[in-house]
Amino acid sequence: MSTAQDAASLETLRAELRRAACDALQAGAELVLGWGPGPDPATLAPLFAASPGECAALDFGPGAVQNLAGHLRALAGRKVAVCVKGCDSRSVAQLLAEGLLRREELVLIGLPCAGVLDRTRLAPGAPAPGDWACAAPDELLDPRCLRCRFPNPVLADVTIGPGRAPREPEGGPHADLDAFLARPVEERFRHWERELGRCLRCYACRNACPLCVCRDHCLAETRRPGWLSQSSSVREKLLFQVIHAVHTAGRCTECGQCQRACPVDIPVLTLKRVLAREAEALFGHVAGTDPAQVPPLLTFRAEEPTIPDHGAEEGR
Amino acid sequence: MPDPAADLRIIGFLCNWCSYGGADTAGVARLAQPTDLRIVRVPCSGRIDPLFIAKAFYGGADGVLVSGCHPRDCHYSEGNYHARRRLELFLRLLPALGIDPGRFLYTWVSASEGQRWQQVVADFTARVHALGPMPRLRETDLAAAALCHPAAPQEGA
Amino acid sequence: MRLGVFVCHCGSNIAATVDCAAVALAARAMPDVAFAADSVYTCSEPGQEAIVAAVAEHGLDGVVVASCSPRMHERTFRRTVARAGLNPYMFEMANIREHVSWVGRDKERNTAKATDLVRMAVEKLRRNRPLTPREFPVTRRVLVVGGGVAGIQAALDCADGGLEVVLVERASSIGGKMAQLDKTFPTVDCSSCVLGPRMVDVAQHPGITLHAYSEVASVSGWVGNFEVAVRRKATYVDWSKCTGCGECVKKCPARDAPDPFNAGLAPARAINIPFPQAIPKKAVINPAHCKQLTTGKCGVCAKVCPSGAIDYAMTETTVTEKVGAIIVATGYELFDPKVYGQYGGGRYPDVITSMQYERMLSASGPTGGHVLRPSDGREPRSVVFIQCVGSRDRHIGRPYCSGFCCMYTAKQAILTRDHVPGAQTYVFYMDIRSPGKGYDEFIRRAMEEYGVRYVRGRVSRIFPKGDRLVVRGADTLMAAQVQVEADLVVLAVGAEHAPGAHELAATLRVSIDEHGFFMEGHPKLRPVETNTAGVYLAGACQGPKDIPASVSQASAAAAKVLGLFARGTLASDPQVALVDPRRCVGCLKCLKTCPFGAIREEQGRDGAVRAQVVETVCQGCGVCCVTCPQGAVQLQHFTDDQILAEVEALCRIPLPTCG
Repeated sequence: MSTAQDAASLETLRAELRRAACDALQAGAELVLGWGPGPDPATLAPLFAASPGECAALDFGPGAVQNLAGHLRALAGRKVAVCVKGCDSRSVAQLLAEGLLRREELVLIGLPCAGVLDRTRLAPGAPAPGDWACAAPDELLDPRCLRCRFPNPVLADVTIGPGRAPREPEGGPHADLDAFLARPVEERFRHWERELGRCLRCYACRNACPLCVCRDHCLAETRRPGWLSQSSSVREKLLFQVIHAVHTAGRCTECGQCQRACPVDIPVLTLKRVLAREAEALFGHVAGTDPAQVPPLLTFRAEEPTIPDHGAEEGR
Repeated sequence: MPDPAADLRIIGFLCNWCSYGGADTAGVARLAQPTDLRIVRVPCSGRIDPLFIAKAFYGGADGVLVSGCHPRDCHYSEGNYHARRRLELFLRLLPALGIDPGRFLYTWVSASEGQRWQQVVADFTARVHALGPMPRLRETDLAAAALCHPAAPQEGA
Repeated sequence: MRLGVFVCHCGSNIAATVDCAAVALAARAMPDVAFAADSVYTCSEPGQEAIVAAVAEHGLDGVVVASCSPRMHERTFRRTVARAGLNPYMFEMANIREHVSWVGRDKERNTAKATDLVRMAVEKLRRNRPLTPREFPVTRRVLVVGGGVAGIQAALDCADGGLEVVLVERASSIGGKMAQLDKTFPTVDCSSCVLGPRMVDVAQHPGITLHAYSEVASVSGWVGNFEVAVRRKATYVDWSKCTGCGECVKKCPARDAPDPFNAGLAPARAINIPFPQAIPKKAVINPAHCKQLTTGKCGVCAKVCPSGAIDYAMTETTVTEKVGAIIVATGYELFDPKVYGQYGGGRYPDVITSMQYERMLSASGPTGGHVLRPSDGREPRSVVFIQCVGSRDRHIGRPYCSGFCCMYTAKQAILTRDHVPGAQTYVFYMDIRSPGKGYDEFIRRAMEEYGVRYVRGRVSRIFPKGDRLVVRGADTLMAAQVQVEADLVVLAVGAEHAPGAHELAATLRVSIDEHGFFMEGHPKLRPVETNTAGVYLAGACQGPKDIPASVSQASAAAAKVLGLFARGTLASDPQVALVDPRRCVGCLKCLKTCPFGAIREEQGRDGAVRAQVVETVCQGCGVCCVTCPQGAVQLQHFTDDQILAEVEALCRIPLPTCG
C-alpha cells in the first residue's frame, strides 16, 4: 500500500516524534506518554517512555486509538510529556479548565490525526490497513472520526505532522443521533433496556473515561450515599449510565474511550453526545476547546436567553 | 385513554422558601388540585440533583415536577440559576433516554402564587395523564434475573 | 430504631377529608415504626404531651407528625421532641393538611396520599442524624432602611434599647409620607407636631447614624453578620458645612425643578431644602436642573452660601456598615391616577390627588394652607372627593383595599369645611372601611356634624363645563344617575409598592408578593419577620397601613431585633453542608459554585487538597451537593440518602433483591 515516498516521510515523522520526546525528557519531563508497537500489526499500544532509549519505540498512526489524557490526573505533581491527537488534546484542555491539571507540568506533543481504527471492523491479526503517513480507509475508521471537528490538537507545545481538515459528514455530525431521536419514544426506551441488559457492571467505561477523576470514590461503588445497589438489574445498570452522562455533562469531549472500552459493545457514548450537543446549543460551550473556559454547569447567567421560561405557558 | 379514576405517580421537588410556600398558600386558600402529586421538600432548587429525577423515573414515577423561586428571587441568591442550567440540560437528555419530556416540568412559583401553583399542578397532572403510565423496565438479562427473587419486597433494598 | 407516628385530625381540617385512623394504622406497618396514633389536635398541649409520653413509654428514637405544613409548626414540634429528650432533628413532618386535606376532595385518594407522605417522612427519619447548632457572635447593630414614620419608630426603639442603629433614607430628609401630611385622622392633630419631635430625636440620638440621600447598594453576609454597602448620592453640598440657612434656595435662579415633597403642586428650585422641619436640614442640588451643572454658567449658590458648602464636583460615595439585623421600612408609593381617563387622566388642572390636596391644606405648603384651585387660584365652593382611585379595581391590577383612604378622605372633607366655611363637599365611595379605634365615629362626624354628602357609587366621567367640572356617576343606593358640579375634584389615590421594592427584595433575598409588597414570614404568626433570618419588616412596605399600624409594626420589628441580640450570640442552623474527607477527591467544583464562599481549600496531613465547609458561613442551600460527583459533600438533614429514601418510598416498582 505504502509507496517508497510514504515510507520515507513515515520515517521522517517518526524521527521527529522521537526527537520531540527526547527534548521533553531533556526539558525535565519524567515520562513521555505515547504509543508504541502493539499486540498485533493494526494496534499501537500505550508506551510510557522514561529514557531516550525507550523513546526510540514511539510511533503514531491510525492504530493509536487510546486517549492517554486519562493517565494524567494520576501523574499530577510530576512533569510529564504526553502525545495528544485532536480529541485527546480536548480532554487535556477540559481537565485544565477544571483546574485538575497544571499546564506547567505538561509538555504536549500534538499529533494531527486522520482518524483511528475501529477494531471491531478488523479481522483479528489483520495487517495494518494504514499508517501515520498513509491514512486507513474510512470504512475501517471509528465512526467518531468521520465526524471529527478537531483533528488537530487544540493545545500543543510542539506539533508533528501535517494538519488535517475537519470532517464535514453529509447530514451533519449528528445525523445518527437525529435518526435515533426520530424513533418512537417507547422504542428508544426499549433500546436502552435491551442494550443495558448486556451490561456486566464492569465499569470499564468509567475507568477509561479521562474525566472520571473520582477514582475509588465513584457513586456506583459506595453505600453512602446509596445511589445504586449491587443488584444486577437493568434499572441499576441504566441508572449508572445516566449518572456517568450527567456527571460529564458540559465536560465530555466525546473522545469515545468509554464506548471503546465496553466489552459488550454498548453504545454508551450516545447519551454523552446528546448532552454535549445540548450544552453547545444552550451555552455555546464546546468542552475541551479552551482551558480558560468555565464549564457551563459551574456557572450561570442571570439572563439565559437560550433557556425557555418553563412556566410562562403553565398557569400564567 | 388514561384512567382518571386512578392516581398516577407524580413526584414533586419543591424549594422550601418559594414553591413549598406557594403550595401551602394554595392549600390555605383551599384551591382544589388533583391528588397524584407527592411533594419532597428541599431547601433550594439548587439542591435538586437531576439524578433524583432519573432515579424517580426508573423507580416508577410517571411524572416529575420541580419548582423553585423565580429567577432573581432565590432565597440563597443563586441556587435557582444553577438549577435552571442543570434542569434544562437534563430535560433535553430525556428524549434520548426514551422518556417523554412531557413527563418532566421545572418551573418557578413564589410563596404568594397559590393560584398559579394550583394551575401548574392541574396542567401538569393532566399532561402526565395524557401520556399515561411510564413504561416499566423489563429484565432482559435472564441469567441475572434468575438470581433474583422476582417478588422481593422493597424494604431493606 | 424505634419511631413514633402521630397523625393529626386538626379538628375537622384534616379529618374531614382524610381517614386519619387508617393512616395511623398503615403507619404501624412501616419499617421501624414502634408506635402510631391519631389525635385531634397534635399541636395542643395534650397533643404535645402525648408525644412526650409516647417517647418515654415506647422508647422512641424519632417522631413523625402528620399534620400541617412544616412552615407552620416544625419549630413547635422540634421543641416538643427536645422536651421529650430527643435531638430536635430526629423529627419529620408530613404535610397532610395544606398539601392533602385542603386541596383534595376524594377521601380515599387523600388517605392514600397522606399515607404516602407519612411513608416518605418515616423513610427520611430513618436516615436522620442528631444535629447540634453552633454558637457564633453577632454584630449588635441594626440597619433600618427607610426613614418614614415606621423607620423612625424602629430606629428609636432599637437605639433606646441600647443598639447602634444605621438609618438609611433615600430622600434628603427623613419623615416620609407622614411629613407631607397636614393633619392625621381621627384626632385631626397636626402631623408635623406629632412627627417633628421624633425626627429631632433621631438626629440627636447618640446611637443612631443617619445616612440621608442614600440607598442600600448591596448586602452580603447572613443573620448576625451582614455587611451592607450604602451608596451616598452626590448632594453637591458639603453637609458638614451646610447650616440649612436657605440663602441658596432663595437666590437660586433655576425655578423649574420638580418638588416631590409638594406632590408636584408647585415647582422647586434646583437647590432645595424640602421643608422647614427637614432632618437633616441640608440643601441638595438637583443636577438635572442646576444651571451650573447643566450649562456650567451660574454658580449663584456658591457665591451666596455663607459657609462655602457648595461643591459642584461632588461624586457619590459608598460606605460599608456591618450590622447584625435589618429592618425594612421602605413604605409605599401613591397610585398615579393618570390611568383613569374618565377622571381626566391629568388633563384637568382642578382634578388633583389627595396628597396634592394635603399639601394645599398644610400651612407650610405652597399655598400657605389656603385651598385654591390650581387653574385660577380661586377658592372652591364645591369639592368632590372620589374614593378607591387605584384600590379595589382588578382591571388595573390593584384588587386590594389600600385601607386608609376612607379615613383620610373624611379628614380632608372635614378640613375643607374648616378652611372654606360654607363649602359643599361630596364623597363618592364604594364602601366605607373604618375599622379602628374612633374611626367609624370620625366618619359619622364628617357626615353628621360637617354635612359631608356621601354618595355610594362610582364616578363614570368627569368633564369641564365653563370653568367648573361636572362629576357624573351612579348613586347605587338611590338607583339613580347623579351629576354634581364641582370647583375642585380630589382623587383619593391608593397605595402601591415603593419604587425599587423589587430590586431591594433581590438585594435582601426576601420574597415579594404579586403586588410588590414584601412577604412576611407567616401571615399570622410571623407578621414582622421575613423568611430570611435577621431581616424584618415594618410599615407599609409589607402592605398598605395607616400610621398607628405602621408604628406598631415598627415597634414589633424593633422588639424582634432586640430579642435576637439579647444573648450576644446566635445559634447557627446545623442544616449545613459537610464534606466527608474520606470521599473528597479535591476537585473543588463545590467551591466554584457556593453562593456564599463557604467552602475553602484545605490541605490535609497527607498533602492532598480537599474541600472544607465553613459551618457558620454555609447557609444550607445544597448547591454544592449537586456539583460533587462523588457525593462527598452532603447537606445535613437533606442528604442524598434522605432524599433518595423519600423518592424510593414513593416508587412502586420493587427492586429485585439478590438472594
